[in-house]
Amino acid sequence: MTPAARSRLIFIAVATGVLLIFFHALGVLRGAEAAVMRGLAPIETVLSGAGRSLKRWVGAPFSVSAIMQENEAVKNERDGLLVQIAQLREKEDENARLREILKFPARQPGRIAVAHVLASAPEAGTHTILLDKGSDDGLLLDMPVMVGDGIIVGKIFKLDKASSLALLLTDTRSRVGAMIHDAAKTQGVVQGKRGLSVEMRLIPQNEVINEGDLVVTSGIEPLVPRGLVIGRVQGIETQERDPFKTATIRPPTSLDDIEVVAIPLP
Amino acid sequence: MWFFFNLMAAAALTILQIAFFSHLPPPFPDISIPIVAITLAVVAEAPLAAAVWALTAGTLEGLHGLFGFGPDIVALFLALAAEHALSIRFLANRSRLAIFLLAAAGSTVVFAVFLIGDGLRILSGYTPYLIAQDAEPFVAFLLGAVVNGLLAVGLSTLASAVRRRLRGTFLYA
Repeated sequence: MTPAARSRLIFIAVATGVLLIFFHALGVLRGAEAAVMRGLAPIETVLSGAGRSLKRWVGAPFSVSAIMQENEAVKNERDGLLVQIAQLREKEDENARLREILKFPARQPGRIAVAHVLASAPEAGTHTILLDKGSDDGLLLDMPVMVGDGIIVGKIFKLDKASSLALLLTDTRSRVGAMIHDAAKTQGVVQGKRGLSVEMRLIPQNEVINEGDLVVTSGIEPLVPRGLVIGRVQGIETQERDPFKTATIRPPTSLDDIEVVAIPLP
Repeated sequence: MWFFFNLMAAAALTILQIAFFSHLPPPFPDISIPIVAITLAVVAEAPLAAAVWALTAGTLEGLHGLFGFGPDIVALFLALAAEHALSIRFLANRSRLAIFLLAAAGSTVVFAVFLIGDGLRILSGYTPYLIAQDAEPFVAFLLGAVVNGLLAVGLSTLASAVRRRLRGTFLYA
């Protein structure tokens, strides 16, 4: 190829880039971008699954003792939960009877959007997951992203037509209104710490909290329902002159290994 | 033919980085395949291949990333321009250190573009993406620059060794 022809092709590549950005800014490419994301989603789901499997497979020999410890802790927790379930069933029956007496309408279960995780933290130093659902599927900014039956792992941070990015609870930018599930319903703000852990801040010094207390969403944000599980208090940090204390929270699930999430729709 | 092969390789490897490498343990998530490819293309004096990579990878990263469509394309083209300028004006040879420096410079330019974008977001009253209350993005950038530099050096050395090995057998190796 002659140098002139090569220069012309490089110019075309640069011009194509400029035109793409220009047309994107005008909104002309929205349909095409959504189509590309939808087309790539199945391939990316397979690649993501393979990446997660490889990580688990490579890490397995190093985590045997941790898994055994966790297994023991889970067994103990399960025994305690069996008792709690029995007590809650009793209360549920009582609640149903009282609703019937008061003619109180039963709560309708909300709609849920299920999304696959396509990628994890595309930009280094941030803790986000890319989801294969976007505004076309009814998602809105700041909606909670959950795993299981109601464990919050993050919130929708950036939204496109066919995809969205969720900011994980461990990201330093993440903020969620939270409360401790005790009699006092102590309120605070849960935020991430360098992608490694989650902290609950702004807890007044006079509030009594204990290790093992359950932390849930407070419902103070319009799109985040009350009662989504954030984790359990793992440690409490108090400084003499600070009017607030900080609690370290242990999420019930690993935020590095999420495959499918649920987003409650309004 | 070569052009489409390059285009497909750029698309496939960028998707691999986004969907596969991002789930692996460190340092894999810090690898930027486009930066490494652009560096190797600059070293091989193939600016067209580098431009194809910048356009394709920038477009795909823009569709998937936090910064939205545009900043990734601009960042990769600027990284290409910076690496090209560095290779013809400052670096005397194509040694391992030179290749490492080129890849690290490319990573630095990309990070600088994102930081400027973040600064503009702050000035416009929006939440920044990278600038936070801790130094994690800066540490990740430094790690990324080192990892990309080492990967570029490793791949370049491997390519040279393979070429030397095949030269005795094939005419165009």
